[in-house]
Amino acid sequence: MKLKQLSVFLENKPGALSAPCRVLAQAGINLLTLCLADTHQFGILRLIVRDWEKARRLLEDAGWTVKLTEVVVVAVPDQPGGLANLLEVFERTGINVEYMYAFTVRTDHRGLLVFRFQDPDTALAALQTAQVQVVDAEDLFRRLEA
Amino acid sequence: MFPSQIEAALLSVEGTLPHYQIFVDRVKGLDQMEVQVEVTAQFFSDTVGALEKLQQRLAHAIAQVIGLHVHVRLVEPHTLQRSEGKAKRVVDRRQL
Repeated sequence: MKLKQLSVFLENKPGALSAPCRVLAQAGINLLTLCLADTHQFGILRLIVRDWEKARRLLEDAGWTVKLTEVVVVAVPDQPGGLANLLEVFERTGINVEYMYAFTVRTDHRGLLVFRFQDPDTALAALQTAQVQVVDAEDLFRRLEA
Repeated sequence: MFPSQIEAALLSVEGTLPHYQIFVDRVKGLDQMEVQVEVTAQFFSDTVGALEKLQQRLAHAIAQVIGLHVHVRLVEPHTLQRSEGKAKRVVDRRQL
C-alpha cells in the first residue's frame, strides 16, 4: 500500500530544478506528480514516477543525491471538507504528517493526495480502521492512465 | 585555525568526512568564514527540518572546536573543486 518516492537534494539557484527534470525527460520518464520544498539555500525535489528504479539510477549516475522514501496515497472525495475530514483521522490517532502534496488529476470524483508520515505503517493501519481509501501503486497507475 | 580542525569537527557529526571547502570573505571590514559541505546520500534526509538540523549540528561542532561561529552551506555533490594531490581546502575570496 506504500508508494516509492524519490527525493533529490538541490541547491537553490537558477537551473537547479531544470537539470534533473531534463535528465528524466531525455530518458522518457514522465513525472506523475512532484513537490518542491525550499529554503533560501537549498531545496528538496520529491517525485513520483512509474519506473523509480530507473529514475533513481539516472539521477544518481548524473551526480545527484537521491533518497528513496515511502509515501501513502489516499483518495479523498473532491468536495469541500474532503481533506479536513481525512486530517481528522490523523488528529484523532495522533499521527503526524511530515508533508503532503497532491496529484493534479481527479478520478471517480476523488482527488489523490500524497502523504509522507514519520511512521507509514501506523498511519496505514489508522487509515484502514477509518475506512479511508488508500491507493496502491498498481491502482494509482491504472487511475492515472484511465 | 587549521583546516584539520574543521575536518575533525565535520567527522564528529556523522562519523565520516564529507567533501568540504572553506571560503573566506571580507564583509564590511570583517573576515567571515563559510564552510561548504557536499550532501551525499548518507547525510541526506528528505525533510527540510532534518537538513536544517544537520546544518546546525555541523556549525555547532565547528564552533566547539575552533571557538568561532561559521556559516555552513549545504551544496550538491561534485560541486566543490577537486584537485590532484593536495586538496585546496581554503579558498580566499577577500579583496585585499
